Amino acid sequence: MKEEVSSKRQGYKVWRNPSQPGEPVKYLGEFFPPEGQCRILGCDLKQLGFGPGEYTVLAPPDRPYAGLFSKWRKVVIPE
Amino acid sequence: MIDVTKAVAEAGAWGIGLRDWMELRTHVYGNVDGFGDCDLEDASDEEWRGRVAQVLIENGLAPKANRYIECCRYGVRLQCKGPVTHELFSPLYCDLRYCPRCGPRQFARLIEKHSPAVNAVCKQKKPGYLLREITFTSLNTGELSSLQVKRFNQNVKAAVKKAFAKSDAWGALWCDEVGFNNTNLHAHVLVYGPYIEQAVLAETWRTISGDSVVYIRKAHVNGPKALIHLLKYVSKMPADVPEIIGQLEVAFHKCRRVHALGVFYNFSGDDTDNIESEWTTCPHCGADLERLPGTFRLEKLIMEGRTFVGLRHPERKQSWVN
Repeated sequence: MKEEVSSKRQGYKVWRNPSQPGEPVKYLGEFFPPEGQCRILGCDLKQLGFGPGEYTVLAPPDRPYAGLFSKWRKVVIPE
Repeated sequence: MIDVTKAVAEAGAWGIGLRDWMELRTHVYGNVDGFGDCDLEDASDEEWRGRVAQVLIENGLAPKANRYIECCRYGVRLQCKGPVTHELFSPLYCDLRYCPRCGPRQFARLIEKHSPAVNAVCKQKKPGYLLREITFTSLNTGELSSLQVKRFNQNVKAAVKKAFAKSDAWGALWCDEVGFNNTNLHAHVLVYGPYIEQAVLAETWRTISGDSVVYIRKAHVNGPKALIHLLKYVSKMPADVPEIIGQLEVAFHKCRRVHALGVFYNFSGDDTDNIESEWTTCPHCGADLERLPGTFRLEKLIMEGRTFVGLRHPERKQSWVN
C-alpha cells in the first residue's frame, strides 16, 4: 500500500493521537486500504512506516459497507 | 469553548469540515477505550449529533455545534472533602433545548422551578379563579426564524396581559412548541385566573397577532399534573430528522421557550432546590465536593469506579432553564 491522493475517490484520513497530555494531534495524510480490503487496519499503518501508538481514522462518505463500518475508527499499533 | 477561527483554519488544512474537526476531537482526546474494542459503540448517536451540528455550523453557531457533539462524552472528576474522600464524576452536558439527553433534564429542572408557584396558587382557592389551559396558534409559514419566535412570544405576552388586565393575582406560564417534524409554532399556556370567554380571548389574539385560532378550557388535571402536561413536550424531541432539530435550535437561539407572567413570575417558593443544586454535597457522606482539574472521557471515569452525580455546576443556573 502506498500513499496516494485520488481526485476521484476520497481516501481515509489518518491522525496520530497524542501520547501525552498537551501534545497536539498530528495529521498524517490520506491513504487507501490495500486492494480487496475495505478499511485501514493497524498493520496497514505499520506497513506505511508508522510506529506504535494510537491513531484515529476518518473513513470517506463513499466507503464500502458504510452501514457496517463506522465513519470514525481508533486504530492501535501495539509496541 | 472552542476557538472557531483556529478550528476552521485547522480543519481547512486537513481537508475536512468543521463538523468532522469537532468529531475528531471527541475521538482523540480520550485515552481509554473502556469497552475493549476500538470501534465506536454509539455511531448512530454520533451521526445524529453530527448532522444537527452541521446545521448549527452553517448558521454561525459553531460553539453550540461543538457542545452538541461533545454532550456527555466527557466528564469532570469530583472528590468529597470528607474523611473517606469519596470519588465521583459528573458529565459535561450541552444543555441545548433539543438534545435527547438534555431535554428531559431541562424538563425536570423546569418542574422543580415552577412547581412551588403552581402549588401555591392551587392552595389559595381564590373565588372564581381556576387553572385554565389556553393554546395560541400562529400561521405555519413553512419556516421558522428567531425573529418569528421572538415576535410570537411578544404577542402571547401582550394577549395574556390584555385578557387578564382587569383581574388581580393572576399568573401565566407558557411553553412554545412546534408540531412534529414541522414549523407549526404554537404556545400552550397555563393560566391561573378568572373565567374569560373564548370569543373575547380569540378577538384579543386576532387583534394582537393577526392569527385567529385560540383554545381555552379548564385544566383537566390538578396543579402539578397540569404543569407536567404543559411542559411535557420539553422532554420530547419535536422531530426525528436531525436537520429539523438543527433548524429549531437555530430558531430558538437566544429565545426563551418557557415564560412566566404575573404571580408565576420569579416565584422561588420555599424549595431550596430552586436556589442551589443538591449535588453540592457528597451523596455518600454529605461532605462538600470539590472539582478536580481536567476533563476526561466518561468511560474512563466509569472505569475508575467513580459514583455518578448529575450536575456539573455547583449552583443551578436558573436563567438557563427556559
